[in-house]
Amino acid sequence: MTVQRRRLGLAPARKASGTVNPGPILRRRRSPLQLALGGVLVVLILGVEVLILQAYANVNRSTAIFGKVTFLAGALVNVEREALLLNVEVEELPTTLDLRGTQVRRALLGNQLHLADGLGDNDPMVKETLRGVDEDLRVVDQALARAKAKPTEANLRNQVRTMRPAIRDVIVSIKQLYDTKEQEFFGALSGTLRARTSSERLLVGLSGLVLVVGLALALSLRQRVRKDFARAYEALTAEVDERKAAEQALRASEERFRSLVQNSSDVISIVDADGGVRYHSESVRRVLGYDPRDLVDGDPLALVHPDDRERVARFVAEAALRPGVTPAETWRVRHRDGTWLHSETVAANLLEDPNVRGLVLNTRDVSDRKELEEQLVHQAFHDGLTGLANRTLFAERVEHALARSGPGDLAVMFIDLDDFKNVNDSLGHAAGDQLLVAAARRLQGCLRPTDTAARLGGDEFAVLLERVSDAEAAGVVAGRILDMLHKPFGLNGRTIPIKASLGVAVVQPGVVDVDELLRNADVAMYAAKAGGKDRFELFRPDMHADMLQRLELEAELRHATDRGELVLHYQPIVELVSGRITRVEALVRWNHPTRGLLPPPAFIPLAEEQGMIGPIGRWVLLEACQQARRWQDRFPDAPPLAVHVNLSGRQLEEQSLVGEVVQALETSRLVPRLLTLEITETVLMTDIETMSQRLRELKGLGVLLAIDDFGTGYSSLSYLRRFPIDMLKIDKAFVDGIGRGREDTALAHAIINLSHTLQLHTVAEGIERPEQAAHLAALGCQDGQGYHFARPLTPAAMSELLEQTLVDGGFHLPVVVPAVEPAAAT
Amino acid sequence: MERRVRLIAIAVVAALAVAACGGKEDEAPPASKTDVSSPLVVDDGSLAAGEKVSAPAGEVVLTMSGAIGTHNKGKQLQLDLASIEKMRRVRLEAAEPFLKRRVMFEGVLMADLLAVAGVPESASKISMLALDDYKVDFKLADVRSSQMLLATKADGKHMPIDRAGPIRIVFPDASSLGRNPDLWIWSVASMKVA
Repeated sequence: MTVQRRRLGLAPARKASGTVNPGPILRRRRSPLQLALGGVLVVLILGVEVLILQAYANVNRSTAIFGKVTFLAGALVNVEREALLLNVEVEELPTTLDLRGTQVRRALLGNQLHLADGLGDNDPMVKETLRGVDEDLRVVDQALARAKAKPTEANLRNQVRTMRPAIRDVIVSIKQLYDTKEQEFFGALSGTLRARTSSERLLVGLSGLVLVVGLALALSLRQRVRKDFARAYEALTAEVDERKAAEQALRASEERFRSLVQNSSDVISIVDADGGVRYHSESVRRVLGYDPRDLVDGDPLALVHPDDRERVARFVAEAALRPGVTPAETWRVRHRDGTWLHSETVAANLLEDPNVRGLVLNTRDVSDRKELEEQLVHQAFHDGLTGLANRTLFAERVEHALARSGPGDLAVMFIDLDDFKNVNDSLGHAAGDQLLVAAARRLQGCLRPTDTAARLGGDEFAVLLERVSDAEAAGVVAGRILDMLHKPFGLNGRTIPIKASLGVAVVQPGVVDVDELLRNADVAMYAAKAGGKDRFELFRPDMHADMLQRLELEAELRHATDRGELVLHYQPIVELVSGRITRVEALVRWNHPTRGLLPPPAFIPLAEEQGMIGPIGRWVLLEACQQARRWQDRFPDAPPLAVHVNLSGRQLEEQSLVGEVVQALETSRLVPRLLTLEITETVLMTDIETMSQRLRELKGLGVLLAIDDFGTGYSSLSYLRRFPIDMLKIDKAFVDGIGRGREDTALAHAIINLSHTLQLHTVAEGIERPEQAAHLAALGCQDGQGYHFARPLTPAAMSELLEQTLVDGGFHLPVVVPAVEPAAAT
Repeated sequence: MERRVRLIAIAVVAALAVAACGGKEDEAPPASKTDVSSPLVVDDGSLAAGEKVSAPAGEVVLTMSGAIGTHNKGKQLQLDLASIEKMRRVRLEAAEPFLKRRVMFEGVLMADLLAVAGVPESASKISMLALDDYKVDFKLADVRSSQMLLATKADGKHMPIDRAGPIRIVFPDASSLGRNPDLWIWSVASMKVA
């Protein structure tokens, strides 16, 4: 759409659109047809005018000619009459003898001829005729003169004879002239008339043409005018529509604005420069609980918190002076129900705006935000779960306490819940969290308000005691904390004691820095843990040496695999009924160069912590398989021994485990079913989905799966069905009580029964006495393991045992095996 | 559009103006040089009203009869050219309707002639007869008011019969009677007053 064409200048040009030039109403455009018609019309009209003038001139000329001819004709008639009268006079002269009368008549004829001559207008024919007439009359005059001279009758007759032909000649001449002139006149007249008719015909034709052309032009112009008018009308209606649309848009925008203001969650208020409230939007009802009309004209500060009033007054005063928008300020406002809200207000100075003439305050309830802010601040310094201070705040508090001078010492405790991981793994994180919260609450209960309890993360807590008299007093507090934690804690229907290891470091302010103090407490805590858990240790400087040792151990462990310091010992698993060795459990040992043989608990947790369990596990797996293969090769006649390998939780988490098992089997060429993988119950319960998936994958290889230490965890028995388990290994704790009390025996019985129900193979661990073996066999447990049969043996010792016991294609143990390594446990 | 209308109007007006000028040129009459368009007395004469008119010595050119008080032969008053020219003479230049040119006439006013002839107030009309028996009747009032002239000379010369003489009736240009050429009676011979 080109605005310019449409806008024909009928409507006033909008000021807004500067590009529009108001054009003329009608374009001065003429179609070629109209130009041609106009030209033709002008020519025709001029032609008609010329013709009319010509006709007028013709008529004038004709009239003049007519008049002249009429006069001449009249004169000629007169002449003829006088001539005839003269003729009569002359014919009668001999009888009347009236010469005088004849002469008068002759004179009268002369007069007429004179007049005719004058009217002849130098016509050659008239001149000629009149000359002839004059000659004839001279004859008459001479005859008259002769008659007068001798007026006898005879002479008169004689003269009459002379005159007669002359007069007759005159008459004939005049008559001829008259006829000629008459003919000439009528000829001219008819010619003129003819000319006039033709010119009139032309005139009529031209006039008709003028009419036709004029009509055509008028029609064409009318059409054009109509078109122009239609266009102008169209432009006008378009303009009207446009304005209507603009008005509608304006109205819509106003309505939108009004609804925006009224429905805004913000309170919009208009305030005079002196602070008087003129208007509150409807939302004040929702935000503050007041009717907006009740607030208008009231004291605007009445609802503001007294402490904030001065600031609000200053804000308004500043907004009144400052053009534009005044940045947001926050203050407290009272709700009708008496609660205090945090409001945030922005002011727009519209004092100059004629529509407002005031300050527009946009107030919003930011209580939620304020709360959130406070919460965020709290979160930044507090543990979300327990509400205790976090590590940052704790370090800050410690720093403050250290910087503070005053009486008394400063104590920092590090508290680590013992075996928390087990709870977490077996009962789930939610239960673990409940435990943490309970521990935190109990911890707090032991403290004075000036003391700070913190959760440093995981199951690690810390306590800052200010102004303690001495280390002993700190120890008292530590003991109290342990006692409080010990109180039974109900969790998921079970009663669980919370145990912890505490490290306490006591210093005088200003002696050590924060880091050192915290490290000391940490070291003491580790010492407590290393010293058997569920206890506290006061920091001693020599504890650092222990820590160092531990660090050394870590470093050495890294090279243990490479240096071949890891060895596998094997403990036989015996068929209870027959005493035959059918399988062996591989047990890893660290043959430490200076410390001697270390059991798994001394280094496996460390290895897991340091991420070294992968290589160690791989080595164990491969070595065990190869050893089993070696025995198989060595005793080809005996049934091949199955080998048990323990898997740690970390190992099971790794996807690469399956591949590693395959690799070990292939490398050793061991039949898969001769490999049994042992997994502790607690490990299985950490992540049931992943574990069952992993177990299925392993099972797919054809290896057997056993649950180790069964009965120590908290697993629901129904979970067992989820896992493709082949074997249960009953924990030593159940085996110990067999034969000593009814309850323990019943438990062992129940487990064995369950195992049977689930069609699982059962192995009892930690059999130390012959009656245990007898009982278990009686209860239907298939296999047994323990010092009663054999302690864990080096491969060589194991080979020797096998050699000795090889009887009739089987390894049959003697009834009593001497216990060599009482400290070693499975 | 207006401009065009204006153009047409101008053209039409111009055409009319040209036409009008042409018409005027056709009608323009020749302007006379001397102003003798009304009778101018050239000689008061010796023969006035109430005087006796002697019998004509020369050829009688006009015979008056009827209600006249002056007679010189019977009940007639016969006048020759000399007698007529003894009366108060006037000159008059007039457009001669037959010759279609201006002619300087000399003669006597008919009013003077009627006075000499002793025509009473009671008389109302006069009947004039020419040599060729052409006859015209006038009301005396018209004769007097129209300054009708009985001319004896044209362009200073006496008029023979073959030049519409010897005497003839002429009118000043301003006279309404004179517009009718039929009243310009040439070769008047007698008048009879009634």
